[in-house]
Amino acid sequence: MSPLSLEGTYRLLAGLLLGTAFGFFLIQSEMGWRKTLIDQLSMKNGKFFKVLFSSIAFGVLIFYFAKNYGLVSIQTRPSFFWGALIGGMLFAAGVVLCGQFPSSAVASLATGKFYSIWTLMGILLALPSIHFLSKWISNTIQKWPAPAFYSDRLEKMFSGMQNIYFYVAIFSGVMFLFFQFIQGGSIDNSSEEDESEK
Amino acid sequence: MLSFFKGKWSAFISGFTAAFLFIFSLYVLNTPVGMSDAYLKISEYCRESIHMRKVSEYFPFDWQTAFLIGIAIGGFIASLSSGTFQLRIIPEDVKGSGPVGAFGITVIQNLIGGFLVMTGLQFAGDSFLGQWASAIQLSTGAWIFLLSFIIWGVVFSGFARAAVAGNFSEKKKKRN
Repeated sequence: MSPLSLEGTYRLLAGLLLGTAFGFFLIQSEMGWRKTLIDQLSMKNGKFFKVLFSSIAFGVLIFYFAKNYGLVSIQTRPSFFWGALIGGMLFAAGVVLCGQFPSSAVASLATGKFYSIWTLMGILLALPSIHFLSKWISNTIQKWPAPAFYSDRLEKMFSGMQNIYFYVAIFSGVMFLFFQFIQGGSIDNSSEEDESEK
Repeated sequence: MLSFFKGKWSAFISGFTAAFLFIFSLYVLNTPVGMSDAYLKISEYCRESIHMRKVSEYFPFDWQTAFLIGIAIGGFIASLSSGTFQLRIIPEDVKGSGPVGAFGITVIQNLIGGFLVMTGLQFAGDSFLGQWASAIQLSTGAWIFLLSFIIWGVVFSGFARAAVAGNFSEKKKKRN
């Protein structure tokens, strides 16, 4: 068995349908709402991190079996230690301000939240600036030596462990329970609109 | 079954759905999921149009831009089915001196926020959905990005709340 790897019009159609499914997921799971993300970072509601960690817990196990059956292969972009670390920090600062990330801004705009247009404009303005700085980034951050323990795959970093996939699934499950116990939060139907109606 | 489309999903169901969607995308497309390339192409298209002072005829329509359009369609359908569609110009948590002040704060916050979000993602090398999918595939960089986001997000949010609270108490003192 091998991945489908659709091409041409089928690939385009698959992209549209998968995007529709992701957009539907972002709204139904409340991940696309500004309030969910802002409340999560101010530790008022643990929904965002709970969805994130439960998806990783399930996803790692599904990915492990799918990879063993040859249905999927590892498809990740190259990453750099310092780039990921500084990128996460800048991303966090941005999210604290606008409460959105690129896909949630698009989904949110489609639900009538017109203020998302400013986030999308900020996103589009950042791209030429980054293009301008790309040479500097590739000569500095991407060349800074990573710590000795770092490797691009967790399997290599924790090569002593027999099956890292199960350990990562357990860790993510524990993190899910951690946020469930310390914050509880909206397993019920509370949403941005429900709050505004109150 | 109908409540699945109308009601909000629990964290458990949402997590499983996200995991399934990421793996299914990998099976169907066999490429990293995400839309940072789509944003790059749209940005380039806008730059070209501004440079030529007319709308460029060639729109970069590929599976990633289709994915981006799909997200908008999916979000719209979900908001209609769950009855959460609502026109808003200012988020309800943004407070300013009157609607004009709140609007100004919204514009500035979202512009700077969006700028920082995309800059961070470009530093990390992929979109947020891409980092999420890579974390499922055990990419160390994606895990460092997610953990850095979680830790710094909570820290920065604390600073922001402290700054807002400080500003509020100063205004109160001045009034008194």
